[in-house]
This record gives sequence, C-alpha cells and structure tokens, in this order.
Amino acid sequence: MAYVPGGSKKELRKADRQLATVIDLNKCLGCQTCSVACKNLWTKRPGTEHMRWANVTTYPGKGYPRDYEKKGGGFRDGEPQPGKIPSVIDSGDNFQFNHNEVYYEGKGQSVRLHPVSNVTGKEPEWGYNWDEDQGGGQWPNPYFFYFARMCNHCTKPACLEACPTGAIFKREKDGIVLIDQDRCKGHRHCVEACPYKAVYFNPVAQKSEKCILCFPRIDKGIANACNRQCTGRVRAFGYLDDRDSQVHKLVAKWKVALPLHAEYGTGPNVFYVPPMGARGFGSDGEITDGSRIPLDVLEGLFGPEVRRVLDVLRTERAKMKAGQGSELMDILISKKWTDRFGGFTNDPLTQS
Amino acid sequence: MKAKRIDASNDALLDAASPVWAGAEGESVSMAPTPLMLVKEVSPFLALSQDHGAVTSLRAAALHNGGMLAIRLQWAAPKHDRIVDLDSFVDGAAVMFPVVRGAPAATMGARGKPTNAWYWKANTPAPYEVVAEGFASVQRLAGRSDLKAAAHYRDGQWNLVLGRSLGKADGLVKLEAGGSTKIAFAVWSGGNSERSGRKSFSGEFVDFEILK
Repeated sequence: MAYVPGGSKKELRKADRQLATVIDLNKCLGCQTCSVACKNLWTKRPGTEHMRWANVTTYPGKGYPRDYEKKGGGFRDGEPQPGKIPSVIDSGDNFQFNHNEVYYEGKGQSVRLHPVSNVTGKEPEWGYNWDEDQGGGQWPNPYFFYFARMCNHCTKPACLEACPTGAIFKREKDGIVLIDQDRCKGHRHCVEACPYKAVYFNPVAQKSEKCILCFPRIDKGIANACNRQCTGRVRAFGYLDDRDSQVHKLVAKWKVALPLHAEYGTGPNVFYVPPMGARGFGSDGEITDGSRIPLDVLEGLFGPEVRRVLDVLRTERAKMKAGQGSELMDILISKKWTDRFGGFTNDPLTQS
Repeated sequence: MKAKRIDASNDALLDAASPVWAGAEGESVSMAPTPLMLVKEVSPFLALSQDHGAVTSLRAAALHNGGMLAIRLQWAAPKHDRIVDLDSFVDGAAVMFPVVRGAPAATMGARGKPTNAWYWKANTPAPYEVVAEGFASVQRLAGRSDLKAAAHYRDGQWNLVLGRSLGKADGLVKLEAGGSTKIAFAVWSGGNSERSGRKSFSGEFVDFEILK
C-alpha cells in the first residue's frame, strides 16, 4: 500500500510482491544475536537507546515492549481499535552502569557493578527481558520458549492507515513498510495503532521510527541483519510468491508457519513455526507423549491452525526418524545456510 | 477581529506583557473539539479520540506597527512544555489564514484552496509556517518568512505572541495594512495528549482586518 501524496487512504496501492520472514520457534535459543545485529546497525543514535526493532523475549511473559498485547491498536472486524503508547520503561529503558567506579576507580572489590534506570535514576524495576526464562506451567511441567519479534511489514499496516501526514508508505516492489523521516511529525498515531507495538518514538528527533527490514541491504541482495546473523538457522527469508524460497514452502506449501495474532487484522508477514515443546511428565513421573506447552497457549498466539501444524511437524519428524526422509524437516534443518534466504545471499562485507 | 496600528517596536509587540497590548481590542474566542469525522478518511485511528479539546476558550488580540503584524493568544491550561516520556505531548497553538478566498478552515483548506498557518509548539523556540490543502498535505515550511514567537507561562496561563512582517507573500497569506483576510485559531493541550487533529479549534474563519 503505497501512499499517494496529497491523496486519501482510498488511493492506497497494494505492494506487487511481499518479503516475509519465517521464524522456527523450535530452534530459537534466545541468544539475542538478532537483537544485537539490529541494534548495532540501526539504533545507536541519540533517542534510539530504548529501541529494539528486533527483540527476543520469553513466552509466557510480558513481551517487548512490556504488555504489548494489552496496548490495543489493530483492527477488530475491520474497525480500527484505540491503542496506547508504551513508555520508555515499557520499551526496555536504557540502563546506565557504574563501569568507571568498578573498573577504573579502584573499587572493584567493594562496589557491585549494577544498573540504574535512565528514567528514574534508581534501581530498575523493569527492563528488556526482565522476565527472561520465568515462563509458565506448574512443576513437574514448567515450560517456556523464546519468541523473536520484529516489525511484521503488514499487508494492511495499521501504522500506515493511522498516519495523518502521509509519512508512512509500503514499498510497492517488496512490501517493506517505511516511515519517511522528512514527513513524520511525531504525532505517534502509528505507535498507538500498531497492535504489535513495533513503532517507536525517538524523543530526540521527535519522530517515530521502526524496523526498515534493512532495505539498503535488501536492495543489494543481502538478507536483513537479524535474519542473516541468526546463528541457529532459525529464520528463513524471501518473497512469499517465490516458489523456490523456504518462506514460500513453509507458509504456502507445507502451511506450517503461522502469523502472530492474525486476529489483529493487519496481515502480518512474519510467520512462526509453533514450538512443539518438551514432552511432559505424567502423574507418576513417567514421560508422556504430550507437550508441556498447553495447546490453548499456542492457539492464543497463532490461532486454531496450531493443532494441525503440530500434527504435521510430528508426522514429518517421525518419518525422518524412521529413515524415510522429509522435505519439511530438510527445510527446517537447512544443511546449507544459503538455502534460507531466498536468493538474498550476498555478503554484507563485500557488497555494502 | 481587527489589528490596530500602534507606534511600538517589534520587541514591544512580541512581549505579551508589554503595555502596548492594553491598546488592542482583545476578543474572547470560544474553542471546541475538532469534529473528527472530518479526518476519518485521512486517519481512522486519529478519529477514535473522544476526549480532545481540553481548552474551551482563548483570548485573542492583534496589533501592528506598520512593519510587523503581531497576534497575541492567551489561554488557561496546565503547562506541558517538555517530552518527558514516549507518551508525552507538548502544548501548542496555531493561527490560520486562507491563502485564497473560500478556503475552508475546518479541513485546513482543500485541493487548490490552500490555507496558511503559524504553528507554535511549547518545546520548540522557533514557530513554523504551515501551508495545507487539506489535512493530509500539511507542509511545514522553515525559513519561508520571518515568523517569530515569544511565549511565557504565568499564573496557569500561556501568553503567546506570534509576529510576522507585513507585505510578503511567496505562497503564504498576504498580510498588509489596510487589507483584510480571515482568521481561525487552534490550541493543543499536551497534558491531554493532543496533537494533529486532536485539538481545540475556533470553527470556521472569521473576518480579520488590518487597519491602516
């Protein structure tokens, strides 16, 4: 949906193609390499300290920004819903550490290295990944999984519909959603409208910012940094309509990758292979065939298709185990990393 | 509304507390929440607001000294002049004129019928000139004129003077002694998260005379 300057939202044009990401939650080990790759590239400027365009949190948990699922926005039955703007602390704060005191002022044995909230100047009470690894469930079946998120570069972006100044547009050639920093006036209707809270306000520039899907890399055939840097081969990337791409195969052919909170009505283009979870213990301490992760928890995130997807994953895994081979398992394993990126395999060091 | 000519320096005009303002015929302007049905097409999310329009009245006065036109706005509101968190907004005010006859105020003009506004925000010292042919085409123009602002907050009230040289046009409203145009006002209450179309607004343009 490209914006027609000076026009109305009725003149929005759809993107011709759509780039998408698939994240396999069975393999994500919460190492934050994606978060750091993004941070290093894009959010080290003044006013962006609190931003994590790419982030990984523990589920169950409050997520990032804190309680984003309770902050409204998106559409219900096609109607726009009011939303709230996360605070700096919700967005992870910007802890300051007493490095000098501990490392350079001779107090290494007497003073503890500790963070201070950049907002309150006191001991932090919340921050990015504050509830890491807490998870849910009761003994003997506690459970959690890592949940990597980023902007969904939606097919029907609520941020774009919300912007009264025409600063947000969706690139027609690949569906990347961008905020024109020259047009943005910092009104933050986009922040309220995004149900994933993937738009962040920069209080120094007084403009809103978001994941740009590393478009300068995409334009040179290099996969975006969070996807490319993932050490666990958790992420696939490419055009949804590229029948050779893993993204197409996982989303459209095997139908094992589902959008997060499709009920928000924005048509997200990041898809997740739901986690099968560890096998649970029964009442006598025996190992059962059931997952520790309750089905309704996963359905709450990825919708009613989860049960079918988990059945497909179990069936294909059993085939693999039995030596019969499985195209799906081969994709999810990805023995060659280049298979993951739908042709966006140029080297960032030699191409950029 | 009328802008009388008086013998005063630009500095005196730009001082809301200067005695020169005693000679101005101030008017009380009643302000109302902007009807958000008007912006629904531009931003259905913006149009979800239900409690904007915290400021319900404004005192407006105008003077000129033959060189500069100054407009003084005074309104009572809690002060919000800093962005202290990602969800905080600052106070603001604007004065709007039609660039051509018949430009509608309620929609900030229309295609081919531009409006010109002077826009001031409490955390930004320099005001902007704004030209718009409707909500979706608001352009901030820096350096297009010598627009100045002076604001101080005292006893629970903002006192703001906006001033610009008479005579120049260059795509903006032409203001000259002996001429007439129309005028409208807007105020944003930062503490009430007001920004963009969420604001108090004086309604359709009223006549504005710049006396000789």
